[in-house]
Amino acid sequence: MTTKTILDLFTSLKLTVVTLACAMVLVFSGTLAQVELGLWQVQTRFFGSFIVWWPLGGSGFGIPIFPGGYTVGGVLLINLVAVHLRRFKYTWAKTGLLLAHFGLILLLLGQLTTGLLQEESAMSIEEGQSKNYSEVHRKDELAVIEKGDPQQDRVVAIPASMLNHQQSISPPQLPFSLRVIRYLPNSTVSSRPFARAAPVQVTESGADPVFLREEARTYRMDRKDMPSAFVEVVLRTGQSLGTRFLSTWQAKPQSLVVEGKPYEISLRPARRYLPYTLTLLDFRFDRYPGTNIPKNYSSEIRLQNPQSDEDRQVLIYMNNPLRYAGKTFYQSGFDPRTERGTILQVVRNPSWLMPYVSCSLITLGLLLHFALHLARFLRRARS
Amino acid sequence: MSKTLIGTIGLMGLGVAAVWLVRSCQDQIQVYTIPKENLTAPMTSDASPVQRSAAAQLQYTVPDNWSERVGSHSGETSFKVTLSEGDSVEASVIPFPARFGREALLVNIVRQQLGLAPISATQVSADGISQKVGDVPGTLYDLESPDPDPNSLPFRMVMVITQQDDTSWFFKLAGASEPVEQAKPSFLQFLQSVSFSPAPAVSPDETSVPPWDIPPDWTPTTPGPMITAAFTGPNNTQITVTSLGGTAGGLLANVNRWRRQIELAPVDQAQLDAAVQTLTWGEQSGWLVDMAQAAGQTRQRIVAIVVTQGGKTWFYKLTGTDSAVGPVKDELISFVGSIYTHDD
Repeated sequence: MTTKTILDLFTSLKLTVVTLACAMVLVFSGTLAQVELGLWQVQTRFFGSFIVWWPLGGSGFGIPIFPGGYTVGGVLLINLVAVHLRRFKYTWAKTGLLLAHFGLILLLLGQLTTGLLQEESAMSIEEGQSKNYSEVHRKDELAVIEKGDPQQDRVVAIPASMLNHQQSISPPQLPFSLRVIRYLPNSTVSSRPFARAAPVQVTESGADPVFLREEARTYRMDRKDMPSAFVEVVLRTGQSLGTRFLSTWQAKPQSLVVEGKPYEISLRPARRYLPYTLTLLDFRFDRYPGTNIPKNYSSEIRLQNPQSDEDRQVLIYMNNPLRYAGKTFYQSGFDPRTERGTILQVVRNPSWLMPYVSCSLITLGLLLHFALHLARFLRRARS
Repeated sequence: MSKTLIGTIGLMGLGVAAVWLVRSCQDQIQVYTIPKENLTAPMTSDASPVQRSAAAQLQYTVPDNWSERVGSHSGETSFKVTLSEGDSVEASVIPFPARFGREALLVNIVRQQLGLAPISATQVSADGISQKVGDVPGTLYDLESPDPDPNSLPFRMVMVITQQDDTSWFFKLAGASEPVEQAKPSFLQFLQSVSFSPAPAVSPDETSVPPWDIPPDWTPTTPGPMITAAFTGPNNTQITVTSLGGTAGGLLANVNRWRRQIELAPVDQAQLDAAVQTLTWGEQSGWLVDMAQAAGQTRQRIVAIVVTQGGKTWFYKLTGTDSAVGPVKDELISFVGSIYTHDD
């Protein structure tokens, strides 16, 4: 295959058509798959990947069946850039096209950065409560917290994805290793026996057992996996400090003392700490008079940032988020039991402006292109 | 190789490398420091007010082979029932607010947990057996999991549901089939020993609530977190009593917060000074603010009295439609006056 052939391929209009057709097939099949897999799984497996795989049972392997979103979008981007590099000769009449294509390139790049860098998390706050962290809904972590310092805690957070396939984890910041005996990506745990549950010891010290049942992973939007793990704590000398049962079902972390220092260990939703604090002063849930139909949710928040000496109140309600320090806080839900707790969706998206900029450029470019062509047509018609 | 091709392949490689780099960075161990977690927690305990007050209503005699578990949560009281040969089963008592206590719903939730198909309310009624809890009539259901898995324990639950005042009580005995059968007589003995005492006052912190004279047409209701007391007045008006430390942000900030709640524009200090009315009771004074939406058949209105005393600020707030709040405003003023003119 010669250089010219490869170049012809990358700059081919046929490639553009094929790629756009692949994009349509991907969107259509992803929409259908969402019924069974849920939105998050489809986004990850169809659009946030280079290849769409057909899983082969529980083997961990799969058959590649279609190019994923990164491949389709990437080829489209390459195609667009390559055509401009190879064939484009600037004239005044092509300004509109150039603008529109540049906007399209920005749109594709913006979508790539959003897919890679955007992270959504949630903050649940009761009235009167303050919080300085949010929790990532679909990610969990094994957190080891060193509690010895009176002013601050040091956190070593191990993503749960590492627990799935690693036998032993030895963070250099800790005087011990964590040997994963067994990891259950989803489970049900109760302090009381229930159907098909087996008793497990939480620690080896003889505390009352809990009851554990492994569950299939869930893809439903309104549920999340609740992982559990059996983890052995092993000193650097090789001495074992016993096996602990950790679970996202446990409300409180477990304590251990190693070399005279107190630690807490827990399996919990991944946390994202903020350098500022939000306090929920008042949550309001208005209904249409005489009905139970929600009219408005709003959260009166006190924002305190010691770094910038800020202490102010903010009202967050539907379609009126708080944009602060690179994050956006949306009014997402509330605690239905008490109607006194708010749930804020926290979105970090560094490229949130890209779609607006790119759409503006595309619109401007198309308008300009149309205007120039219209002007030329009218000139010819007059002459 | 042409520059175009090099550039194109370079761009591809860059894209793949960027994706791989970002993805691999996201699954790394993170190490960071955080300030000690002394952030304020909600002022109420984990249990809802119904469950906290409900728990105080129940008396019972614990059988000899029963031991109460420490650290029960959500208002639940649980016991470990120890049997011969080292077996044990669990017994528990759970109160629910009455609106959640519908029997068919509870029974089907339990059936689902046991792997049984849900049944109709009629069938639930037919399956239940009368069983007294103390002197109060209840219904007993004895359910067993069909459980096709030969490696797991057969599971059985004997439960009794009864209603007392505005609380549904759920008494449960659960475990493997044979041990539950052995423990059932002591469970029934426990049920016979149960007695319900009258519900205590709703206020969660009686020692700090000032003495007041509640107007006769006000009905105490369950206060939420951060609220000392709550009432329902005539025509569905709501009255709440809240106290916060210090100045609680100041009168202007709180007034503007209330104004935003009923979609009114904020006011400045001068406008507030012109609108606020000062109330005095002997040496104690307070401020009354009255805010209403501009127009509309069901326009919302808030009347609030703010009193600062002893390092705390008390908020007495009346909300409802304009037509409903009007007649109750004087009752609110009398209610607050009764607090600060009370003989000690």
